[in-house]
Amino acid sequence: MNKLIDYLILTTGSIFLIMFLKVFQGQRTSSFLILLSFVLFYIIWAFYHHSKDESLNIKTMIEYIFIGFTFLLLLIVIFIV
Amino acid sequence: MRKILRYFFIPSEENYHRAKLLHSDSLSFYLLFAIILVFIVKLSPLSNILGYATDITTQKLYQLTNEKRLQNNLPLLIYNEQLSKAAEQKANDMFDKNYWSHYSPSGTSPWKFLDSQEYKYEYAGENLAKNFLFSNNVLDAWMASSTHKENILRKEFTEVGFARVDGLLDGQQTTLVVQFFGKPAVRNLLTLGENTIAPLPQKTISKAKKIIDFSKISFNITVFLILFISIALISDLYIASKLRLIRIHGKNLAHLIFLITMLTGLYFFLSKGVIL
Repeated sequence: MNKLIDYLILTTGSIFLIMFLKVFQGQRTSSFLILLSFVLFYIIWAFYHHSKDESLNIKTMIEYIFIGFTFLLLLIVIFIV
Repeated sequence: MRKILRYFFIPSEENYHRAKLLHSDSLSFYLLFAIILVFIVKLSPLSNILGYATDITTQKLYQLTNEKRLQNNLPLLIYNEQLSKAAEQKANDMFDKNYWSHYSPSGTSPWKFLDSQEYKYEYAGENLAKNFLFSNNVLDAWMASSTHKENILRKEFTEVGFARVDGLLDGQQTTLVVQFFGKPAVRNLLTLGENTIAPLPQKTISKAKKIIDFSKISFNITVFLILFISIALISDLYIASKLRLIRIHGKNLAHLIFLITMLTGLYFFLSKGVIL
């Protein structure tokens, strides 16, 4: 049940991201900041979820950070650089 | 080949019960690759960077516009340099006076820019677009709007000009596209037949070819990587749950939600341009 709530939180964050992107349609910098916030939210969510799960360790967190920042950087190349 | 695919996508003893593509070293490779790509783009003198990443070129817009006319059995439009200069003036005026409209805040009409280029016309039309990433998205959006489509397919128009200008609009980095149509009142291209396409000036073509389109390359890499990692995550999740493997690592489902969100975000970026 707890896990389900955690995933619901993550999915809600995703829905908010898409809603904000729609609201700030056409504004490149705002859209980028929204994406950056989502990556940070994803990492914080991972920290919260795994610490609750008692499975938190550096290797696990690195996995989230690597995935999060890889796609953030690729999106930077597409839209910002 | 099957062994390699198994090693990269399916958790087994050889890859310590985790798809190799999801190992920390693989993930660090993706990150390193993304960092290198950012640096290449930043340092490359050939990229289309200036804070505005878009592959829109007047050459491509011209080609796509005529393709639409051809599909509707209409005469092809002749590229006109005066119309292009007027379009550039219009785009710069929008940046200078910070507006996004056919008419400026002081009420200046689009036709003033045609007059300033001494383009005498019998018919004229204007299409505007902002913040699109690819030329075909601009044309698709225009064709989806009845008024813009009417301009593109209007049989009275014989000439066309384009401008793509980058600048700051409302403090945001913006790419504006202005398309002017016209039918000259006094024909000054008597040597050209109705269906002849005047070639684009060589200068424009060579400039477009010189640019390395990093935004498109990065877009393709991002989509490929998202799909690639998603397949690895799904297969890893499926096999691990089937074999009831207990492993300590990030949650595949969370990664999948993240990747799907990124892909949706990418879609919104692509389709987020506005037309007027």
